Formats: sequence, structure tokens, C-alpha cells
Amino acid sequence: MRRFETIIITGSRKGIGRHLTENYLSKGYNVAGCSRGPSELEHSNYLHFECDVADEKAVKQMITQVKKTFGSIDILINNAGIASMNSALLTPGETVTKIFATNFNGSFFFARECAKKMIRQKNGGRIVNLSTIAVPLDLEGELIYASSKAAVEKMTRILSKELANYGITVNTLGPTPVETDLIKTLSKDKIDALIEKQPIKRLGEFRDIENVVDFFINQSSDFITGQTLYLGGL
Amino acid sequence: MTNTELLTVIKQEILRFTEENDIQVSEIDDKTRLMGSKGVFDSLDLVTFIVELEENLMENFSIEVELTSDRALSRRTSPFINPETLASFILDQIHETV
Repeated sequence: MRRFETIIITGSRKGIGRHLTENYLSKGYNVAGCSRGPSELEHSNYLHFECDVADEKAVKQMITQVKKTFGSIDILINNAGIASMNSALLTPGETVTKIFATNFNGSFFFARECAKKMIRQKNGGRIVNLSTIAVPLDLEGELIYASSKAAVEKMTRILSKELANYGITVNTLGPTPVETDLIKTLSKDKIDALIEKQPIKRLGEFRDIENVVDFFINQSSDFITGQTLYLGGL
Repeated sequence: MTNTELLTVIKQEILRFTEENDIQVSEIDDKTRLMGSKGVFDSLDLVTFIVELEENLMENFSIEVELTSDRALSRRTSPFINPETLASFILDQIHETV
């Protein structure tokens, strides 16, 4: 089996995606990333696309271009996500559509298109989706965000079955809050209350995420699929 | 690409796929049944074949088609019955995008 060489990371401009991008570039992978805006990251093995993950056509074009440039697509990390914390009673329909379009549709489009390339390459592959501990905790105020991620977890389980025959594994990581833009709008009290619900009471760090993603994408992890792993003891 | 050229590509791709996957077939012609109980492919093979054909058309002929589009799946007659129906469906898509 050929060594995995190329990773696609969605939402690579900042936060967890940016950290993972830099980490895998330093390990010698080719990395293709995307975000809705330009990236400041410059590296000879990095390719950036300004692509809305919810735009099916743009996703297809990006995947085709990545394959042409790097010659293979071995790993997908579906990291791009948006959140909206609000009472269900005050959540407009437009917000629901937008969050599901990015968090679920976007993850599905990338998974489907990358899987097609992986099948054709006949070398297996790895798909890692990002969820959140808001799913098992059923957090008030996060109905839409948590529901969109619950859908991602369901996609993980079903897709893992459909792709098992091709040596493609599909797993999900559910992080606790990490200090990123996604949680900066939350008050300290809310974050503290959330951490209090975790058996291990601290904010997540990038190294915690990196550790699990490393495990999922390792070529020796070919017997591990359909799993959702939450950080912090949940 | 003409209908005849496309049919040739499809039949070559079927032969390559059946050889690689140890699927026994005597001969592939324009009317060879691809799906169903007497078809060349079981359901998993058919999905894989469609994906590989789509990728092959894109990589080698720069033809972008969506063989799994809603339109394909909602047609009264499935485009995947035989090489002829498949070629006809792909040509329809090519003409629509030109």
C-alpha cells in the first residue's frame, strides 16, 4: 500500500483547521485547505482555495484541482463549521439553513467527492469529521449547531459502512471547547459551566485534537471506522 | 465525442472493471445487461463502476458528468441498464451543459 501523502482540511484559515494544517505540513504531507476568504499561510506544499463548503459545484472543482496538483487525495479532515448559540424560540429559519448547509451539507459534499477519488486510487483513505461535545450533552441554546453535528455523526456511521469495502475509514472527533473564534462569543461563565460538565475539567487544547486525528488517519488504524470519540471524558 | 466513441469507452471500462474485480463475463456488447439479477454487476459493483466511469471520463476526456444526479435516479428507465442506455444518458448530459 502506498503511503498517504495528501490531506484536505476544510476551514483551514484559522483555529483548529489552521493548527492541523501547519502540523501536517511540518510532517511532510501535501495539504490543500479551504475557507471563504484568503489564507495568509504560505508553504510550498500548501494549496489554498477560497471555497464555500456548502457550494457543491465549488467543492467538486476544488477536489478535481487538488487531485490534479498533488496526484492523490488520501485523507479528508472535515473541520469547517459554524455555530450559533441562541434559544430555539429565537432562532430564525435562515440560521437553521445556513448552519446545516455548512456543517452537514459541506461535510457530505467533501466526503462524497474525496471518497470517489480514493476509490479510484485503490489505496484506501481516511475521512475524519469534526463534531462537538454539545451533541452528547444536549446543551440548551445549541439546538441547531448540535443537531447539525449529530447529523454529521450519523453520516459517519452510515458512510463508514458504505466505504468499508474500499479500505476507507470514516470517524468523528467531538472536541470540548478549545480557544478558537468559534467560542469567543461565549461568556466565561458559560464556558466554566460547560467545563464543569466534563469529567476532565479543562478547555481542550490543539494537541488533544491533533492526537486523536493522528490516530484516526494513521495507516495502521485500518480496523477502526464508524466511531465518534469525544474529548474530556464524555 | 460521438455515441460510438462513447460506447467504446464504456465497454472498455466495463471490461477493465470486470477483469480487475474477477467478475465473469463472456462478452460485452451494446445491450449487455449491467444491473439486476442477470446483470454483470451486483449493487456494490455498480456503484463502484459508476464512480470509476465518472472519474475516467473526467480524467481522460475532460467530460464532467453526474451519473448519480437526481435526474439519473428519477428517470423512468434507469440509465444503467446497458452500455447503450448509459451512453445515451451521458450524451444527453454533455449536450445540456454545452
